[in-house]
Amino acid sequence: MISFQNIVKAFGPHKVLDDVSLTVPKGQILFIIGTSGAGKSVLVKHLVGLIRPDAGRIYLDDVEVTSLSEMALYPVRKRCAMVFQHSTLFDSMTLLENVALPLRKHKGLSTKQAGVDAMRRLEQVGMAEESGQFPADIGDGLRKRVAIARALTLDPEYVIFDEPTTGLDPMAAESVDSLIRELSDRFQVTSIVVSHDLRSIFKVADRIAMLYQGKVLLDGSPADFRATTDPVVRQFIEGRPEGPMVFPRKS
Amino acid sequence: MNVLAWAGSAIASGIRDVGRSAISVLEELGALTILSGRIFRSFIPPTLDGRETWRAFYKVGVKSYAIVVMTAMFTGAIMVIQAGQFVAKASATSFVGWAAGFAVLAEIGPVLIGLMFSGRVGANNTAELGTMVVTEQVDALRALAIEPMHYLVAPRVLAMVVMLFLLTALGDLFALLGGAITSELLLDVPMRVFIQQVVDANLVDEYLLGLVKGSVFGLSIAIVSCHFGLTVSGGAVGVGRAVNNAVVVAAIGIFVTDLAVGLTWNFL
Ligand SMILES: Nc1ncnc2c1ncn2[C@@H]1O[C@H](COP(=O)(O)OP(=O)(O)O)[C@@H](O)[C@H]1O
Ligand SMILES: [Mg+2]
Repeated sequence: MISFQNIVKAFGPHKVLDDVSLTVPKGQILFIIGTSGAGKSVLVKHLVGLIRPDAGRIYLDDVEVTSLSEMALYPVRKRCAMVFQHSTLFDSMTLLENVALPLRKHKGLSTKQAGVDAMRRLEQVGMAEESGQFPADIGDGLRKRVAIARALTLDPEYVIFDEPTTGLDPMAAESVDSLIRELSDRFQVTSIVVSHDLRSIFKVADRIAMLYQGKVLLDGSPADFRATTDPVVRQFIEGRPEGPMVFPRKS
Repeated sequence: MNVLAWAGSAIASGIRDVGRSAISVLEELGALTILSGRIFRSFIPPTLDGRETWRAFYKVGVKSYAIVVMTAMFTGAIMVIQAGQFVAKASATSFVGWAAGFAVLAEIGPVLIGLMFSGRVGANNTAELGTMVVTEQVDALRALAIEPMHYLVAPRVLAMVVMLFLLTALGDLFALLGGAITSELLLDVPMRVFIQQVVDANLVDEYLLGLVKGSVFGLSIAIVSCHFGLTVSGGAVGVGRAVNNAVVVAAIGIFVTDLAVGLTWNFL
């Protein structure tokens, strides 16, 4: 179970999160939606301690993440993987070496064994052919698939996907969607998915939370979202540029 | 009246600026001290990542050996020309090997090699770490439960210290070679004689002092370049600014530690 409790976070005068509370039960998939700059990435980075809140607590099962030191966070990060919004593959390594790195570091595999296992994982995301290339040589969508493979190497119990299908073609997006669903159905993985992709939201999500002006505007099932009469939520899921929604100013 | 007021406020703001830069210098020094502590701790356990360490050594070596050899040859040549004028006046050409050798081994060689090394390897290190910070590769390491200090920084620090030591040892020899060639060409002192003079001068102490300096410079370049790389913010512009700062501060660091090592050596 993941539980955010009353999270507040400001950068300078700019309050990005203002009392955000969310709970994700084991095995569930929570989608977080909201406009660009709403604070979705900031919120999910709190979960693995990459950002510290100004106030509030976060629990991962019964571990209070927010009270841990950087050192004490490392065991948590092995259980909770993160796929970043932008490619964070290591440029100095081939795709294979990128995926092999956590295997070498944490599973005690030799470089050769790690390479074999990494290759298998690249195959799963359809990237085996490109394994010897460097991140700079391939497109954004392909990098994202490798990043997903790398994040899943340690067989995490929790996974954060920050916009995993943005920039992917519809077929690739589809296969990422079914991967997320499968992780939950087969391995009881608990996921938080940040997404703008309405198609995958309504297909994959167990629950959806919409962030707006630093707060959770609506937290409910896909059916709740379809049925809502909240004008801001309606505007967002219908993708209309005109309406009551106030867009965050670029900081 | 107006002029006086203007001058007064200009002086006041000048004092304020000096005060402000003094504070920021202290802040940087504090940050460098903390980073040094974290770097030393990152060598525990001393099992550095083999691949990163090999890559760091390879990159540092390949990037810098040519430029170090060239710098060293010119340094030796220049010292012989300078010493040559002096010894010619005193008609003491038999001292040219001693004078040039002394200056090169104890002082000029390590300092110039260190400065070149900083411009080449240190700047590169700052740019690479800084880019990794702004593209969130460092955060990605943390998210993969890999400690950036231990994994990224420690191998680079080790490589810079060891390589600058070795490059100083090697560069010194090339500096003497450059000096020998110059003395043959310009001073009519044959190379063999020049080298015999250097050997007779028994400059082992100076050579060792130079090597100690090289290692200390390597450490200070490593710490400074990692510090400015890891604290980058503000995208590509921030990386550029950090590289700039790293080179300037590393140069200051070289002069300050040169003085410190020189003084300590004389007391021992
Ligand atoms: N490290 C940071 N320092 C300052 N401001 C930040 C930082 N990270 C994010 N922000 C700001 O927080 C706001 C929310 O960003 P983000 O969470 O990335 O939005 P999104 O919902 O699109 O993922 C933005 O205004 C962004 O500029
Ligand atoms: Mg985002």
